[in-house]
Amino acid sequence: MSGRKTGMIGRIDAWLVLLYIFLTLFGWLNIYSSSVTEEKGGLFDLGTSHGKQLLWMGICYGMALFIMLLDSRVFTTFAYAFYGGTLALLVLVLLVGQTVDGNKAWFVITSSIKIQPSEFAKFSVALVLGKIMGDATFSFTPNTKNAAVFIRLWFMEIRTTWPAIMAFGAVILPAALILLENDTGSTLVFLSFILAFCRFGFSWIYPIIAVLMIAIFLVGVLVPPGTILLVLLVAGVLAAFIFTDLRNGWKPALVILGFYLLALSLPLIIPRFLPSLVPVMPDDPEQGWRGYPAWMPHWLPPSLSRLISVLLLGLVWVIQMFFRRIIGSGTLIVTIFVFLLGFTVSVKPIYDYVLKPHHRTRVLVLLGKEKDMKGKGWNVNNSKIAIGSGGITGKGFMKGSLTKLKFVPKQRTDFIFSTVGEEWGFWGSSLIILIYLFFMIRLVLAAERQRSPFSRVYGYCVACIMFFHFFMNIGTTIGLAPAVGIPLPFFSYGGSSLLGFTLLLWVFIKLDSQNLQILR
Amino acid sequence: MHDQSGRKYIYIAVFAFIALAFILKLLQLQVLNPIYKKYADMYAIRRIVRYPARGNILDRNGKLMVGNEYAYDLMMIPAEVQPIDTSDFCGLVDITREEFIKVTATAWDRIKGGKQSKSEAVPIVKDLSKESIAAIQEKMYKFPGYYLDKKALRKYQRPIAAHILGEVGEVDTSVTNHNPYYRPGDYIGRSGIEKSYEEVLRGIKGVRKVFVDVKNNEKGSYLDGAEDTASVQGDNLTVTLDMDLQEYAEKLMQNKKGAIVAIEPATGEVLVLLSSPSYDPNLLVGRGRKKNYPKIAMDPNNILYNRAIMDGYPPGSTFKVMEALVGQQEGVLFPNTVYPCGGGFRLSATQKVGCHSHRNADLKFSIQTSCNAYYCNVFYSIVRHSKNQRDGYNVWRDYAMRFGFGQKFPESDIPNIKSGNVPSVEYYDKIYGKGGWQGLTVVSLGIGQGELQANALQIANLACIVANRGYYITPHVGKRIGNKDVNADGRFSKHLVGVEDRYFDIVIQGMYGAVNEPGGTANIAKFDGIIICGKTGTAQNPHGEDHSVFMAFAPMDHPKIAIGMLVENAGFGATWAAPIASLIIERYLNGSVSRPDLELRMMNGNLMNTK
Repeated sequence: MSGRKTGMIGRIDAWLVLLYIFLTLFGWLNIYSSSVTEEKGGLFDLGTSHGKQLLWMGICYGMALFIMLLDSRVFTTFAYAFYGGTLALLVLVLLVGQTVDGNKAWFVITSSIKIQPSEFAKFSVALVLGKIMGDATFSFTPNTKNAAVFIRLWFMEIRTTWPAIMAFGAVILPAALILLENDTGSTLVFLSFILAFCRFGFSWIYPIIAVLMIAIFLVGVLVPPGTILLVLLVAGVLAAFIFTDLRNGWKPALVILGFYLLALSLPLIIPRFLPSLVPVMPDDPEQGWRGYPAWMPHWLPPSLSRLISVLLLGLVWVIQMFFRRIIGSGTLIVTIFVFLLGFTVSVKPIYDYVLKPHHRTRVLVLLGKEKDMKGKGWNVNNSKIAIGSGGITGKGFMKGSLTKLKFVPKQRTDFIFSTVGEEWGFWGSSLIILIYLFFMIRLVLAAERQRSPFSRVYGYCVACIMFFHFFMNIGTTIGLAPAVGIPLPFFSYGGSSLLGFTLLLWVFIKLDSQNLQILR
Repeated sequence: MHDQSGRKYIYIAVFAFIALAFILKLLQLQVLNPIYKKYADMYAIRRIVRYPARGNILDRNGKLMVGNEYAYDLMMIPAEVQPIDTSDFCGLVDITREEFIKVTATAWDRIKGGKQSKSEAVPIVKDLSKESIAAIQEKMYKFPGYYLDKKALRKYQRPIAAHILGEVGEVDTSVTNHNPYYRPGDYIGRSGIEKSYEEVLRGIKGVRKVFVDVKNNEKGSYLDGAEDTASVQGDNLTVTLDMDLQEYAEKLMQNKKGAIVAIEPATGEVLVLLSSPSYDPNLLVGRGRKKNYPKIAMDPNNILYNRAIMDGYPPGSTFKVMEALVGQQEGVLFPNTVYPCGGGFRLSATQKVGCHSHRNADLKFSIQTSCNAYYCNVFYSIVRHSKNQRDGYNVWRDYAMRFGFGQKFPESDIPNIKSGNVPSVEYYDKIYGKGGWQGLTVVSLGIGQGELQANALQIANLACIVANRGYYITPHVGKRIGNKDVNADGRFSKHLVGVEDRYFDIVIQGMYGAVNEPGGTANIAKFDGIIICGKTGTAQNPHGEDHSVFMAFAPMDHPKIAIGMLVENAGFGATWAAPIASLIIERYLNGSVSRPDLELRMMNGNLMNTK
């Protein structure tokens, strides 16, 4: 290819660099707007948020340059060392860390400089995944090079390989440590690695099921299970007929249909005759017991009928496994369908008995059922007002009156996008979304063109992490995602997150620049 | 591994789908939905808590005792404050810089601890009067994030009944940490009726959401007030007190230390409850509170202390009435029982409990003259009546407890009643050793002295028991909440003392004699028209002049009022306590007083400096 420079720096993807610089600068402008006041306005005043952020940006640019000067083999060679060091820091922060906003996740260096090691964990995990999954023999499913590992869960059996287990372990270990810090948001970010796995042979079915489960859960909070079950039935029948090979005759289709009707009838029928036999907790636990025979002891679990429904569905699934020959390629569809049925009837009990009150509040806020309370709902509500007040063209830079009034809590960190919405309007905020989209697509394309599997895995990890942050952060500010409190890459105020994202991105830029030089 | 590079399109599709969803949502928020256009002119939503006025307190005749008047609090909204000229600010609202820094720091701590939201107002200076806010209001524009909030303060119609009404003050952090209803700076009833009926009187807080612009002016309500809630004033509480009688009794007790409790025997309703010296409850309201509270709390005469329910005095001879009843019920005393007086009760060759010399007494005359020797004998015979004297003592003590002594009336709505003391056998075991004491050792209990401790409420309750011939209703001050009878559920129950009706005749005659017959100890309390039955007492005071005790009820038939009272350092019961009680009874039953000379003498009497 022409225009490619070789040598120390190698070929740099100019788009990624430009987008990086644009996003950090534009992010800083918004931090400046939300932080500057009439009394304190000095650009380099380190007592202000924008002053500190400017310093961090300088450090990050320096670090980016430094990364470019390194040999990219540093990252492959020392991947496990980075990973081990990160784990050590995550343990250390649990022991000696400081609690900020309820998360024990910070090393305090001075009163104004705090470091959050979980922001760097993503980088280490991406490196290690590059090592594990970049191996030529890596596979999620057993093959000639990888012996099968069977994991038995009750009647279910998972066939997988040791490297796949290692890949999952590498993600789960730091995620668990961060969860111990009480930092749910940063823990959820690790789901983005699972998304990246799908590029490398991990079945799409799992993220699809997860999305379906979330959708069923949210809808299940609002509508009775019967409605969802009927929708599932229609969808399941369609899916089964599409994926079943009908050239083998109608027999498998009929068997599948039979299973559907059997599975569907259970959760619909059982609650109707069960109350006369055993005590059943009503859907609303505050209404008290219904149909409660005097001779039954009080300790019987609530929602017993639903529990029995779910167990029987499991049984249906087991029976179905015996018929897998007949059903053939439709087996997986039926399995998923039966599983989702069980999940549907469990939504209410999970909502009522498993979720804590503040979790329920967040779900209701997301669904728009509850909008005006203290805390998270209040934040989201104010953020939507700020964004909405921007109108088509926005109020202009430094003219966002709600921003000036500190109307939106955490505006410089988790809600920075509300400043964009207010001051730059629909055009500006849409443009930012498109720029992020372009940035993420660019990352995917760059990852895809990597000749080294290590770089490709790493690149997909970066793209998926960026996507997850983009989705959760902006989604929160406009009320499309639950408020979990994670920063917007390159935009949000905060040294640790900026450093973390810069490291993540620039190591990939470096790997990409040497794509044609080194074969790993 | 087969080629999976095609999967990149799935990623791109997912990313694009989400981005599209975001842009559509932005379109809805910013372009299509008109409500945010309206918000665009207004700048911030402020949540203002509307504090309800506390419920009024009315006396038993429906006269207003405690109402409300309005004052202003200077509030801060943490989310909106910007750096201000603190010295200008503090000078304007008249607080010190340190105070200002302290209040704001506390508020920020609570926000950081997640205990309150940033947009919730915090009081900075409280209870500014209508006059002082005029100047402040003019300059409010200089202090964004601050505003004035109007609220109701307690207003006491007359400067009386401070102790039983109680005070309203800022809530302690120990309460705010556990009870989410209260925020720092909120008011709460801290004593007396304000405390025991706090949940009735406090009302329901409301909230108002308004838009304010950058100049800190209100710009109308959020969602046209759809989410606002009104504050609801606390319920009116009718109490059993008689305001006029309370005022009159306080006048009589001026410049004297002591306590008076008057109860309607048939219902247990407290008509008067006073502790003297007292203070004007209006002194502890609003901005004056800060200045006046230390003064009142540090007063050498213990002004804040409610002597009527908290002090323990030996009940003195008033206790003999109970002895006479218990003796009869236990079958060791009869109307014709005669004990020789001979100037006292001999404990041994050298010790005796003294008594003024008079002729040998039967039961009626013993009450009339308050013979000490007689009641030492009665007490001793009650104690000796059982198999052993420990059991005998316990029998006597059980009676005393049933008569309300040594207990706090747990059903009552009068807070902080102290139990006083009717010593247990363990108590004496500790002093004398097990078996080291017997009836004679503690015989002074029989005449209401020794280790006995009782308060005016318990003595008034004893008068009720006699008036009711054998029972009392738990003394209480709450009558009606709104239109609902406080005692509708019978929470102030009837307590039988275990002495039969027939034994009361002779005792009541004795109390009649004490007031109305020659040789009675309380002749001074007698007046025409109403027959008072009374019993004097003298509580021995090791620190100085004895305390004057008196209990009475009237009229003799169908009693309407029972009184227990005590005047400190006033000597014999008849000199001060009996005439004051008599005047209160006359005033209550007749509405006026026929003995202006006696009234004047009592009002002018000053016993505060005799120590």
